[in-house]
Amino acid sequence: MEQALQKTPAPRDAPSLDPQATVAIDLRFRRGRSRIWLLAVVPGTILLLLVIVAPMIYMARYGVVVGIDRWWMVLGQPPGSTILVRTVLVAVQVTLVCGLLGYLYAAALVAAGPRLRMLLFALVFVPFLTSVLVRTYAWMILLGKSGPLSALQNGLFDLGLIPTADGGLLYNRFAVLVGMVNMMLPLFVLPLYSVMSKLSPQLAPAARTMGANRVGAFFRITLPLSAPGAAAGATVVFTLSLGFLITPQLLGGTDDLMIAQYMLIRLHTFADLTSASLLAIGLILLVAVIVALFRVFYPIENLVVAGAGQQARRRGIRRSGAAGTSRPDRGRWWRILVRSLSDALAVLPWGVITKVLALVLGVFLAAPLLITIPVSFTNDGFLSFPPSSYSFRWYAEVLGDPGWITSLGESLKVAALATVLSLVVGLPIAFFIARAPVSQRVRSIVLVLSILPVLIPVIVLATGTYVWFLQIGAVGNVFALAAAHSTLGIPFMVVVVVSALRDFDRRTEMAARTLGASAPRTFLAITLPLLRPAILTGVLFAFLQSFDELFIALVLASPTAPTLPIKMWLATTENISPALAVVSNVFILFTLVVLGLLMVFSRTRKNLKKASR
Amino acid sequence: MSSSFFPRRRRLLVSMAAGAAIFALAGCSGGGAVTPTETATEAPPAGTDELVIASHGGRWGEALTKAFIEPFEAETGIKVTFKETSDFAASSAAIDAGQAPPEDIIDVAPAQINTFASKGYMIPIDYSSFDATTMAQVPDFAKTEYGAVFGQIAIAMCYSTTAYPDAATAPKSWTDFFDLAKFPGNRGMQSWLNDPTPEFPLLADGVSMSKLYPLDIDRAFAKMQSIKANVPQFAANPTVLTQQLVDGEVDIAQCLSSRVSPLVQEGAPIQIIWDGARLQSNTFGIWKGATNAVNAQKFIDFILRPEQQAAWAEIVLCAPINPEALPLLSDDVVALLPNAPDHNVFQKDDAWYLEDAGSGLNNFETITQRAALELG
Repeated sequence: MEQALQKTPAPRDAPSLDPQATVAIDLRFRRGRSRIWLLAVVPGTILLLLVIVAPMIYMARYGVVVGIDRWWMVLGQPPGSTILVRTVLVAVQVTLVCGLLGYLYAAALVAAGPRLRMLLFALVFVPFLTSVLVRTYAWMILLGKSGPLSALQNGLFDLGLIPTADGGLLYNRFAVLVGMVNMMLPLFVLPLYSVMSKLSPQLAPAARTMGANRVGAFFRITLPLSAPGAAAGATVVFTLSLGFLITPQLLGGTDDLMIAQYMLIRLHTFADLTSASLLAIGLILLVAVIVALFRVFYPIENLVVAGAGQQARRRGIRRSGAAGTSRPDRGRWWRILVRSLSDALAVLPWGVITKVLALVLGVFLAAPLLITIPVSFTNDGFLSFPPSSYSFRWYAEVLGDPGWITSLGESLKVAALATVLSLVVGLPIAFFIARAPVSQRVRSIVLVLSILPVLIPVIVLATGTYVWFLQIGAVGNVFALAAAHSTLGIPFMVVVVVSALRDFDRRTEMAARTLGASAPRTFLAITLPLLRPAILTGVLFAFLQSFDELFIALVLASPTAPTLPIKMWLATTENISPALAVVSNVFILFTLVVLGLLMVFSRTRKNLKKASR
Repeated sequence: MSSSFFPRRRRLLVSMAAGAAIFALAGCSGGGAVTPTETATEAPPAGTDELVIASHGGRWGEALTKAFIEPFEAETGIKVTFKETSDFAASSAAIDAGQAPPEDIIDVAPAQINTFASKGYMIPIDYSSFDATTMAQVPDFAKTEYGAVFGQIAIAMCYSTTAYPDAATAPKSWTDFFDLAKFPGNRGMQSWLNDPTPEFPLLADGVSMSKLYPLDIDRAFAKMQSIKANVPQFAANPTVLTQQLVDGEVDIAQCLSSRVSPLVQEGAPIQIIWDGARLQSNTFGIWKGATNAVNAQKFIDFILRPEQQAAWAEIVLCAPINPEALPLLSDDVVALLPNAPDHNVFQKDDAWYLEDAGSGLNNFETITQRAALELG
């Protein structure tokens, strides 16, 4: 694996171009650019220092000033140590399950025809647009005793198919895992798919012509070649799982207290910043160790920097040959066993099975959204399923309450600012990573630093930024909140744009330059339009990161202007009201309408263009 | 060219992403219409005409606004900002940093007020400056140094009338709550990490209501072990418990009366058992370094008046701390209050919870630490 990495050319090279021409044009590009390249990372550096580094150092203070015995008391003995171990265990379980299901889903996405792929995308994407809080409450209904899954369970029991009936689905580790996998699966599927889709579709048939069967081709080709995507997905899923709060708190049973909730209790009930900070530091160290371990297996920054797609393609050709060459008769007994097992498995119609399972998974992903529809139309004063009667009562309540509308406006404002900031800061960084004339090591460092905020549990980030922003008098300031949120959006922006730049055909730019266009003009007329899909994807992610973020907003937002997630969170501490389902539905509806309009609009414009020609 | 994250469905993605861009634009233009917020936390100079109160929203917040805030504004001309929050990590960090906390008055439980006070986050309530008549009416236990009790809620046993339609055979006491043989099924209990309730297992174990304190912690935890397997979740958010009753997740639960009473009025199938309920205080405290500390003292003085207390109790159906409020309320309303004359309830002894348990930690901290281990 390492060998292959070293051989990987710098992404700026256009492989099939005449070398002399490249050098000539490159010189025009490069002359006196090093300082400009430095400028590209300046905004990012300032933001990183202000919003991540300073708060972390400020918080670390609490850990430095106390003695080792305090460290031991908080982290080394129960309940702290028990909770820490449990949290890691759950995060590992979630990551493994996401890995298994994510491969299935990504494989189905790759194999699917255009329509099915569109559907599968929608099923993984639309739930991703909805608030974690709402989805968690939806799972409480789905898994609850009066919910549809319990009804199914009872039905199966009556048929004698399963041994137990009547609930037991909610308030245990199983429920926690179901909820967390439901939230995390898209984060595994998306990076994995981005790598898998770049593998040549000819690889598998090639391996098979050399004697590998379908199962063998998957395990010997697809699996190793897509490992970078899986590593990236697993890292994000694992670190986010460590800091998860709402889902384990609401779905868990009596032995499911996780570290984020424990931190919040220390902070909230006991105003114990020291313990909370020690737990936070412990958690960060843990994440650092895990990421370091992961990097031994596969450096996640290589996913972006080294051009995994190209690399995968090249290695794939070699591998497809290798897959066929190791004949079982030359192997040991276990190879024969594996081979005959895989031969037996290969008979199964894998294409159909994958697609069917993926659709089932898609329903699983979308289930929380589907359940909020009937619930929102209840006429009851409380959340009930199935509702005893239906009405628009809660819609009238929510839409008639200026509080909800104001907080929606506030959320949109913060998210818009955060998105703009993510774009302004993230785009130059992406260009730096993809194109600056610097060593691979520098690229890696810049990339790791720019995705760092995603790896820090959000509760830690929230506490740290709060303590620090107080010092600089920025609490309650909408720009400060947007800046903090933008650090969560920038990683997505950078990763998406860098991967687009990696596959960018620079000859288009060079053609423009040789035809006399200035550098800025080339950038605006050629580069930017070609990057548009990637940039808009980044914008979407950055926007949603901010729009759905609760904990940082909870401490940084102005007291008189709560964002939508704050308003929803506070509403649940008062009562679990059907208003939550209404807010969720209005939001989804809003999104779908805008998407629909855009699709119609873009089609019309295309048709107009065609007509005008 | 495969330039996007999802190469082959670019148009879908472009649309989705463009959708987000439209959101962003909507946000910008919508943002203009929203009241500017940046100035909200800026510290006005001394001798202020403002006040910021942090409490819960919903019906609780509505009662606070209608019964306390609006009349106070009308009488004094002081502009009161109501802030909906229960998270004070931020405020304590502000005080640590020597800055003005974002709010002046906070509405929390006495244990929390005292935790804050022990860390130097609160200033004393200046009862000597309060109206003498009102002060004579309010019971002494309500006038603690750092927290003024302004009303009481109850944690009461509730059962689902769907599970027990016949009141005659329904559970009636904490003894029944803990009796799994007589009343099999699940129990709803709140988390002991925020607000432990060891009184209930002790009552079930035969301790009489008048002899509860000092609590026998070991005995309480032992009794809890007997029922733990039947508690689906020690709910961090007590509102979940009423939901559990409605959903049939549990048949009997301990509920906050302030949360459950409105639902009962809405027709939720829940019956409240007032006997053996624990009355517990809600207190107002004033942050150290509060920008509007003077107004905060005035406000607390104001809301202890019988008229304000009665107005508040009528909306939230909780116990007013000033007994002179009761004659101002109709008998129908009084019957719904936790401290109605025929309800056999007990007072939570907040002072005991704050006593040192002998390990350097107070009883409250000791119980929560042990609960984190034994009751999750």
